[in-house]
Amino acid sequence: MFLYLVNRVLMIIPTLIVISMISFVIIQLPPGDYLTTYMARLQQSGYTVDQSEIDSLNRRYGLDRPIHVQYYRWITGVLRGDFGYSFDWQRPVNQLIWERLALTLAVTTASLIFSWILAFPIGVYSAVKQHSVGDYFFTFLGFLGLATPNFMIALLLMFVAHRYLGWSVGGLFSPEYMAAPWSMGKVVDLLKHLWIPMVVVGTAGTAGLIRVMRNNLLDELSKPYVLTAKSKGLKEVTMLFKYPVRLAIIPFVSTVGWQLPNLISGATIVAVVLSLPTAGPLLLRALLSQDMYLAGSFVLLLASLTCIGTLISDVLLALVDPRIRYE
Amino acid sequence: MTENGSKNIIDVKDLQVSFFTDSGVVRALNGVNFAIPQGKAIGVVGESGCGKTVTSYAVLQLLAKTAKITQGTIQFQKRDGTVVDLTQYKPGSNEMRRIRGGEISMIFQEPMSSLSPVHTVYDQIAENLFLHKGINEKQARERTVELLQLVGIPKAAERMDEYTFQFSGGMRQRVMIAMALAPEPRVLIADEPTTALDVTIQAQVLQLIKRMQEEFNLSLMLITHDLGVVAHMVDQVYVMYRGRVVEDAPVMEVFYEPRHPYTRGLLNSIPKLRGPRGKVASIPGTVPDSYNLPSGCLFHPRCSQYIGEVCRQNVPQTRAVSANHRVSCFLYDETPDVQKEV
Repeated sequence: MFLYLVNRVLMIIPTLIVISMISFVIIQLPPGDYLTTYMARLQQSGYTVDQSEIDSLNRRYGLDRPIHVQYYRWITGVLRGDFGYSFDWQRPVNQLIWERLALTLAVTTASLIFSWILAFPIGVYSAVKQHSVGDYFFTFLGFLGLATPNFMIALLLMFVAHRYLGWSVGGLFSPEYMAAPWSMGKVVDLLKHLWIPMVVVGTAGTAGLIRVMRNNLLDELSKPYVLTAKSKGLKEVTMLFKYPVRLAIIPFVSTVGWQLPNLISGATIVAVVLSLPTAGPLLLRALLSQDMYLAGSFVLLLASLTCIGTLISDVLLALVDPRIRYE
Repeated sequence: MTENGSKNIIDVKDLQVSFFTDSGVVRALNGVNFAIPQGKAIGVVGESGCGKTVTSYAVLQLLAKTAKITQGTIQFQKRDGTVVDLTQYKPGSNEMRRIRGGEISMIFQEPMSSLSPVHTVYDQIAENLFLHKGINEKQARERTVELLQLVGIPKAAERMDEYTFQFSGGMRQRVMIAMALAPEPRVLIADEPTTALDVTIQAQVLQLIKRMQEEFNLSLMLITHDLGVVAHMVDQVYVMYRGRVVEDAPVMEVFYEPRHPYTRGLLNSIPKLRGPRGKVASIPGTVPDSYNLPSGCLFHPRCSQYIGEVCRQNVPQTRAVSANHRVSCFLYDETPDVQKEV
C-alpha cells in the first residue's frame, strides 16, 4: 500500500511537467500576444504608442524571446511560487488567484456537500422502493434538475430572492462588505449569498448522483450476498447499510477526484450570471484577452488538481475496497 | 403424512407460491408437501426451474417481493418445542428473524458471490454470533477460530481477518458452512452447495456437511439437481417437477425402485461407467413454460409412459406405494379411471 502510494505520487511529477509544456504552447498558439491586443486597444482609443515603449514592454515581459525561453522563465518562477504577472490586471497572478480560489472552494464545497446529502438518501430510497410512487417522483424531479440549464435556475432564484424576499443577490457579498476586511459580519453575509450558487450548482449534480446511486444500489441488491445477509436474520435496514449500500458507494468514491478540477472551471456560466467572484469567470477572461501567465497558471492548477483528485480517489478507493488494496 | 408427525422439525403442507410479474402470474409451487424429521436429512432433487430453491426460500421467508405464498402451511417446531406456522409470520418480523439464522441456517450455491467481498471472514461470521448468541468481541473471536477449525480451514486464527476473495472456492464454501453453523441452528438448508465447485472439492464439502449434520444432530435439507449428490447424504429423497413433488422415497428405493417416469428419466440421465457406451440419455423436451403450464399431469408432454387422456386431463393424486414411498402418477392408480385410454 505504501509503495503503491509512493509510486502514484512520483508518477504525478512527469505528468505535470508534460501538461505544463503543452498548456503553455496551447496558450501561445493564437496569433499575436497580449501586447498586440493591448496596443490595438490603445490605438483605437486615440493614443499613439511609441515603438520604444512597445519594445521596452516586450523586453520587460520577455515576449521577444523564443517560446522555450519564455516557458523556462515562467516554470522556474512557478517552482519558486511566482506564477508571473497578469498583463490584464496589472497585478501578480498570485494575488489574483488565491482569493478567488478560496471563494470558489467555498461555493463548490458547499454545493458538493449539498448534492451528496440530498442525493445519497434519495438514491437509496429510490433503489429500495423501486417503481414506487416516491421513486417515480424523485426520478421525475431528478430528470427535471438534470435537464434544466443551471443559469436558468440561477436567474429564477435571483428573481425570487430579490423580488419576494428583498435580499441582495448576485455576487457573494453585499456591497457594504465587498471591499471590507474579513469579519464575522462578512462571513454571515457570505453565507447569506452562498445558498443560491450552492443550490444552483448542486441541483444538476444531485440529479446525476441520484441516478448513479440508485443504479449502483439496484445492481448490488440483486447480488447473492444480500440474500446471505438476509438469511442470517439481520434487520432489513442493518443489512441494507452494512452490505449493499456499502458496496454501492464504491463507484461513488471514484468520482470524488473529478470534483477537484471543478473547483476552478466548474460552473463558469453560473458564476458569470450570478457575478460570483470565483475562479471560473477569471479564467474565461484571461483566455479571451490572451493574458498568458494568468491563463497558463490556471491551466496548470487545473491539471495539478486533476492529478491530485485522481490520487485522492485512488487512495479512497483502496480504503473502501479491499479487493483493490490487496491486488 | 409421516407416521411420527410430531417428530418432524419442518412439515410443509400444500405449499403454493406464485410470482406476480408484469407479464402475468407464475405459479412456481403448486402444492408442495414434504417433511424433515428431527435429525434426519432429506434431499430435494429436480431440474432447474422446478421450484427447489423457491421452496427453501419460502421456508425462510426470503422470497422476492413479487412472490407470495398463496396457500399452505409450514409447520416448524421451535427449540422450545412449540410448533409454529412460518407462513403466519411477516418476512421482516422479529420472530421470523430469530428463526432465520438462529434456528434455520442456509448455505448457498455460489461461494464466490454469496459472501461479501468487502467484509472480513471474521466480520461475517461474528455478525451471526452477535445477532443470535449475544456474546462479546473477545468470545466472538475465539468462537470464530473454533468454527473455522471445525470446518477444516488451516491457520484459522490468521485467516479469519482476511477477505473472502483471498480464499479458494472450496475454502469459501467452508467459510459459508462455518457461518451457517455459528448460531448453532437446528436445521440446515443447503441449496446446491457444491454445484459451483470442482469435482474433487465437491466430495470434501459434502463430507463436511454430512459430518456436521451428524455431529450437531442437524436436520438437513439438501437441494440439488444431481441425484448422485444425494446418494450418501440423505435419508429421504423428494423429486420435484414443475412446482410439485412427484415422488418421494427412502434414498435407496429411489435408486433401485424408482416409480415415477420422471424419476426414472433423471436416473437414466446419469452417465454410467459400466455398461454399453453411447449417448447419455436425457428426458425429451424441456421444463414447461411457466406462463403456460400443460393441463393435467404437468409431466405428460415429456412422459415416456404416457397412458392417455387421463394424464392430459386429470391431476394425479399422491398415493403411497410402500411405507415411506409416495408417487403422483396414474400408472399406480387402481381406480378404473385409468381405463379411459384412447
